[in-house]
Amino acid sequence: MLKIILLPISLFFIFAKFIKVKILNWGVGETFVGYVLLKVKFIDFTKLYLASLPSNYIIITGTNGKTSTTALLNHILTSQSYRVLTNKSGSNLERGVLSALVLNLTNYFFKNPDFVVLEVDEASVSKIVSKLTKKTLNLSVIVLNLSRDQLDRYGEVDLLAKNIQGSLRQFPKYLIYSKKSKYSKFFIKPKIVGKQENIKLINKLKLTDKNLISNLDFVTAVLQDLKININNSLVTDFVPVKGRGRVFLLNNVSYTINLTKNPASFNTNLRNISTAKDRNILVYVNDNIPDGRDVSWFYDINYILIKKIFEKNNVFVCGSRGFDFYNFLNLIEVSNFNFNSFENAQKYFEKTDSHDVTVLSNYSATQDLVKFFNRNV
Amino acid sequence: MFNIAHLYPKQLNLYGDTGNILVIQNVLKLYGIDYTTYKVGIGEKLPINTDFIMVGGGPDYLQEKIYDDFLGRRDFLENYFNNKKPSLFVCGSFQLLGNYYLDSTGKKLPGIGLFNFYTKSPNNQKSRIVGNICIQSSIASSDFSNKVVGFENHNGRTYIKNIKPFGKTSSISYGNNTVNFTEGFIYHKTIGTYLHGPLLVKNPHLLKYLLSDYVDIDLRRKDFISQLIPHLNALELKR
Repeated sequence: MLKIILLPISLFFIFAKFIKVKILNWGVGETFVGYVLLKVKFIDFTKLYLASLPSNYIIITGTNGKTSTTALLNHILTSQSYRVLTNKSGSNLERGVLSALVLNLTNYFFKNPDFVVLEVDEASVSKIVSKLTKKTLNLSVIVLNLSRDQLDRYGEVDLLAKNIQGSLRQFPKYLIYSKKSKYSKFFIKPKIVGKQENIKLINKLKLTDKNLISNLDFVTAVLQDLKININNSLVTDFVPVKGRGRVFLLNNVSYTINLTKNPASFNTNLRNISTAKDRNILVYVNDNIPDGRDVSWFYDINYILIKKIFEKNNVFVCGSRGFDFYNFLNLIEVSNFNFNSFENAQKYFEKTDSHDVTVLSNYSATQDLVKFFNRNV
Repeated sequence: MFNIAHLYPKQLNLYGDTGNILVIQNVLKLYGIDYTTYKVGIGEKLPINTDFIMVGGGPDYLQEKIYDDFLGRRDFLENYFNNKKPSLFVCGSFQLLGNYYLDSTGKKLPGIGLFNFYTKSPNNQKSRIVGNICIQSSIASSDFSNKVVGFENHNGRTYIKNIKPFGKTSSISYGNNTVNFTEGFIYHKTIGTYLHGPLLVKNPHLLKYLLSDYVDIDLRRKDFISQLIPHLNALELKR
């Protein structure tokens, strides 16, 4: 019954998205539906759409790796012929979740999804789960990791963990999955996920990213608890999420973009290029709304690691807070790096012997770069 | 030998606080002064001839964890402060120097009571005071700037009594609390503040003031100029 009431709304927004994206060519339209519907204060559409869905929910949250792990879980479930409803665009605030629910209703109008798999921003988990009205549902919450990230937006990390735990009290049946960390103690009886090393599955998926291989442990733990036996012969290659590790070729220079938004992701990306020598590295850091205004996190990057890697490669720094990063590099005594605009960085890279650039960029810098390359490549 | 003590780096180091240590080391090196940096954890001794103490910020539960150890250092710190030696206490550690801290659940955590102030957290995380901040501070005034810049991010409201504030805030930033336009406190060369950034990286004139008994920093020195630019840039930042 609820689905019938919601259907006209979904049809309207599917049509509106088509006009916006295909006719007017105004962006990709991933979150505008949620943005518009959340303006309506007297009806809680998120609650209504969630109420129209069945009871198997898997929420994936954490500071780093949410989008890729959600895509990986979806990939495995769909390879086993399960029907999955998800917010696959990586828009993980309430507006992104609501957009996915609205735009996908027609796919699940006649036959419910087996699982609702949602990637949720760590600060939005309590908000989203408070809108789940069926208290008897099966709820699995994967907390991949929690570390300092945009403290100006999220506040202190222990408070985030406590908020996630607090929001789950209303459900008689739920399970939090966490790796052993200093924050797992804030969860009540969490399921501590250990190293599983499912080599066969890793090979079938053709996973190479170390972090994703580690996060596969969460996926297999959840699937085991849901009593889903994976038939490896049905599993196909996993293609990394668009925009993460994406490569653009411009004027004979290849730019590989790595989202680098906090000390943990910076250190991880540094480790991934730890053996690089004479490679080009571009650090592009802004302080726009998606990034947070506070850049004190630069000083929480592993000094020894960054110095060691930057000293033997060609480094260029740019962005609205590029000067703060430049100053940080000076203080840790990295010699021989450049600081200027992105336009000058391009000219610089075009003249170097190496034609590969590893880009370390935060959110809005990544968005700027993707837009730029999409226009110019 | 200049001895830098970084107290509780594992627990109270939330906002890139080690940047303050870095910039001190950098300046000492520039002026040819030998230094040693001691990371002092719970149960570990501070060096007898400590020349600078730095303590950062951290979440409530870690402030509780270091409290007994911090209390045990009360006499040392009192003596150190009265001897007009420099120290910097940012956010959580600043709160612990006062009488008490009432957290958002109403739980009272005692401070070590070296200074007459207290801190209260409202029961609403949405009321957090967050943003770029610029204060007027007479102690940091120089030809270069009479402002101190940083980033504030705290839920606690601190109310000081009979002690000089570190600086005065404007109507768009808050500092100690939302009512009386004060930021932090200063006693001789001890500063308690909500400003991180890290603070000394963004404010070389403050660094000059704190280290003035050891080194006469020339802010116009060619190899120091790049340190000035983050300060000038920060003056232009949006809240």
